[in-house]
Amino acid sequence: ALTKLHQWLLAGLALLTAWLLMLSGAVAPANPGLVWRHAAAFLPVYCALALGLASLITVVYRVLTFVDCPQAHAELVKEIETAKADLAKRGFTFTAAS
Amino acid sequence: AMYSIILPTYNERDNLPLLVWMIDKYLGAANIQYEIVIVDDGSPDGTQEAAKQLAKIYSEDRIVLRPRPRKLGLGTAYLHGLKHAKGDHVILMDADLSHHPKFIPQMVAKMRSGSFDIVTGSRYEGEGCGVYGWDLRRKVISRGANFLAQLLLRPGVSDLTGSFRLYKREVLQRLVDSCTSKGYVFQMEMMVRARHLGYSIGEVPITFVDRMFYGDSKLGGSEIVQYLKGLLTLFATT
Repeated sequence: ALTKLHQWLLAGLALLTAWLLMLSGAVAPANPGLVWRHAAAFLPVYCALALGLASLITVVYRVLTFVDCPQAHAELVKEIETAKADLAKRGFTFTAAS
Repeated sequence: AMYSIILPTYNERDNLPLLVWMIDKYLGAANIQYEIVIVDDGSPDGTQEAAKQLAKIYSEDRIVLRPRPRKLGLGTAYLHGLKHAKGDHVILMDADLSHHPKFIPQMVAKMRSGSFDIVTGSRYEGEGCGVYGWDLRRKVISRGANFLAQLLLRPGVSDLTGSFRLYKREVLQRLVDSCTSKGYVFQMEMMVRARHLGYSIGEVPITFVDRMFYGDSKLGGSEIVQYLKGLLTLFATT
């Protein structure tokens, strides 16, 4: 199996080929105007910007929707008290600092 | 089926009895046959004395103390624990009460129902997951790191750096034998290699209570650099 690095290199090669085809004019609309030529030339930059923006939005969204669980902490604190009492009853000696 | 819980400990004299009590409570209620293999790395705070007291209370069959002379690393702690474990399934979890034993019966059920080789707790996905005690900085780092890891490794597991997992014994043995990284990256490497070796992994949402009582959350610059280096190594070699 290919490593992830190799997979990315292959994908990169495929994209590079596609882009070069666009630049050379081999892949182009019937009447390539200035807009097309500009877009084709800067396509990698636009793609990188778009991916960067999508990544940023994704991470920000995931931080904002991060699940806190204060109730888990509250329950744990209560359970610890129960545990200490029961362990003491069963003969466990906690040291002075506990 | 017998479940061995391998607990590497260092200075957990206060938490260990509480954890053992909770394990006994929840696994007892679910009728799960268990043993706890405590791999203590020469704690100076009396952790081993606490373990011996617990063995008297809960039976020497259930509380198995197998210490080591000093801190020798997590991977070797798991190997050491495996040598002394009698179970055909192994649970790895933190000893500081950040992982709650109540999720173990859920992991057991999940492994049965899905015939998984591994069931991992997920702090990030699923109904009932969550983390307590992380500030904004920690959340940003966690989400950012996770995003990068998902993008680069496409692991099929939502919580790559989690350490609360249930394994079939031979699966864990094989993974610990073949993984070489340290720290957070070790947990990631286990999951990535597991997928590589064709093991099936199920997930159970868990809550994680970060025990900030004992100092600040230990995630500084050097940990982040170590993480990135490990991530790139896995990216290039798997």
